[in-house]
Amino acid sequence: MKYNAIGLISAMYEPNGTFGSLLARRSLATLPFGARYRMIDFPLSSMVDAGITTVGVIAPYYYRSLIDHLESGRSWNLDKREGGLYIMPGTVFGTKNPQARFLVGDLVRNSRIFRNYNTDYVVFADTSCVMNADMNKILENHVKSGCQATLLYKKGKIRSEVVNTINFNVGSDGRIKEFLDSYDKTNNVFLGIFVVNRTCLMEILNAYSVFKNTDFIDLLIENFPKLTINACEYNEYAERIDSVYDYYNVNMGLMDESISQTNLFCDERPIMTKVQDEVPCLYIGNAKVRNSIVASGCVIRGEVENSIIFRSVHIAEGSVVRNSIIMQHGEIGRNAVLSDVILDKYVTIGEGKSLKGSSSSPTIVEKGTNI
Amino acid sequence: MKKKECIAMLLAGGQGTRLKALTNEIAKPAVSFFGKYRIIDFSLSNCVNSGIDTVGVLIQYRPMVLNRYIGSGEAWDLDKSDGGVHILPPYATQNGGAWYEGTADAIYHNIDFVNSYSPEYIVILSGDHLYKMNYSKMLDFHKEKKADLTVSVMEVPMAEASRFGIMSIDGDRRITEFAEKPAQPKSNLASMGIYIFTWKTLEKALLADHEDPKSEHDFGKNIIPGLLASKSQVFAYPFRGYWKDIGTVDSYYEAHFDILKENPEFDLYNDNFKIRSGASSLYPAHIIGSKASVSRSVVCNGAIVKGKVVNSVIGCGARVEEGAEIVDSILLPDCSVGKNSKLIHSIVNEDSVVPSGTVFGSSEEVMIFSEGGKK
Repeated sequence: MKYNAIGLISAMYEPNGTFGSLLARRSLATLPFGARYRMIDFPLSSMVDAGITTVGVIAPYYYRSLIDHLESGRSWNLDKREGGLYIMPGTVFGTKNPQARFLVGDLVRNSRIFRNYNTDYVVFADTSCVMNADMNKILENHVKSGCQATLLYKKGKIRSEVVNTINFNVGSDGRIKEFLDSYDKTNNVFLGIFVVNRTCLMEILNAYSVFKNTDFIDLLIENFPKLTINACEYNEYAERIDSVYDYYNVNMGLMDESISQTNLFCDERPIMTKVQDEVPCLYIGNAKVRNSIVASGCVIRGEVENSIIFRSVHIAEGSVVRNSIIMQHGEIGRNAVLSDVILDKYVTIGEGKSLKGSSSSPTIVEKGTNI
Repeated sequence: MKKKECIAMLLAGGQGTRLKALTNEIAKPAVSFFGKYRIIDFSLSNCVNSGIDTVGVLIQYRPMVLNRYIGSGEAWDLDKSDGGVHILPPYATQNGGAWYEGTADAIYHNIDFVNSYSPEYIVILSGDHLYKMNYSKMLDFHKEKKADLTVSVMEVPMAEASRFGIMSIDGDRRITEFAEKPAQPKSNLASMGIYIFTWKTLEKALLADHEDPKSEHDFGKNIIPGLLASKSQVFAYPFRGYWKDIGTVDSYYEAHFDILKENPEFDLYNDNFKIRSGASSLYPAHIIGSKASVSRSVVCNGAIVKGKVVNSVIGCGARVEEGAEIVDSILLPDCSVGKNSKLIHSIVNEDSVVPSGTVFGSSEEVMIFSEGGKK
């Protein structure tokens, strides 16, 4: 470990954009992404790749899929005798603040981890971004700044109209100059990752422990400018997932090899996910495939174009899948035609059925549906 | 140590010279198979699927890749506190050290290991066969016959019988005669190299064999003929199903295409008897490019296919660049085939780099492209 830090991931964070049934029974953290990943894999892998060996994950209200995915943490080498993965029960404080990341109540109730692991820094992350962040660079930036906290951001435009992010201007000294209500005035996109000195964190938690349903990051903002807060600019590939539109387009963007191979998946900082031992993907019969990403366990006998196909999807003869995302265990019957659709897990499409969405508004089919 | 009724010993130390360049740098059981597997996966998975949770893996020749691959045995759920997988290399003692000098000698040097589990029975396996088998059924047969040794056999075409160890049996399936690669075979029952011994019998035989200066310390040449000569209870267990020795380049190559058939006899895509693999989980899903075409092939995680792939196996992390054509070929993990190259009827070794514009392969024989060192 280069820096003495522990990690804390909020799996309860939910964007306020539209996701339809995709987030009906799961949080954004376990939304399947990129043919074999879940959103939480990105911050979790980044922390582990940076040598962080103690990571707490605050569980959301619907936590079944999270527990199923993380298991003992062994897929991220976090099944450790010292440290390792801690799944922390989160609380839902009504519907007041569904976009909360780190509620004070959750942090206080689980504060044992900050006391037992006497580290200098705590790295916080939500699961809103697709990126392969070098956490050591962010920590280095934080340490050099001498500030009490550091927020990670990138310059640019947000794809979605629906935005729920922290907006701030950055001064010439690299520190945050002011927090603003709206993003329009800054063009600085918060990436859901921030670092706080542990002593500073404990002071704030002690002072605000009764404000259980306040988001910790709002306390940082509230206490500004009493606190010194640094902003670390991120120049590499990072995409926020704030809506279905983002989800669909960022998935489709993976077909660009320069993104997926150079920026997201690299040998130095591998993105790890739950190990699933599947047979290699089989293309047989009259299979035709172009410009697609396909996971293991699939048997493809039909036509696939511009699509993301997750594990163990069966695509029967004569069927056509275009511009679509098919999650795990999808069954596409003979001569079915799908275009611009997102099929959640375990969806069966009957023989000859046709389903069509549009690229601006892909049709979403709920988990387990038979059509 | 907790007593086990039956443990397995897997002979994985062989060099496998018949696989030519594929075993230049790694032991035969560690050779990649069907894109994401390694040959040892089949024996290890058979053990686990048969309820055998304690396996000794005897290693000797270039074990680095094999050791790393097996690791803690987690991929086969063999990371156990009361058993699991154990790597057993040759070792030194007060009297100096020695290599394993034969298959029987390898087990002889690990008698203490076997005894630490006090098993009634021991399964001896070789790590270079492609098959799915529930050893517990063979063990039931062994117990029913009150056998000292049970050899698993299968019927082979009479014309090919002289390539195998051939067993003659009586009406009770008792083995009456054993001939290694006979010119004039008396039966078509071939030994599959899978043995179940009653451990006390084998232990005695190994101790005696060790003292015999003329012995080659080999199961096929010494131990089994010795038990037959001493009128021990030796039976032949009939196996039906797909079985292939994949220890030669031709049979290794053919086996891949046996699996690629429609309704194959050896079905990896059947969940009832899953073959597990310790392949890296760090590869992303594979990418098929916008100008690519893939037909009747398998493609593994991490592969990037931009060219044309016909009737081939594309291993984990392998790259096929634009304009390249891969026909009737096997790309092992992490190799790459450059732009406009043409590969026919060939195998590209792990990590090898086929330069752009290369034309390689012949319909006459299976050729191996092996250039560039291992990672």
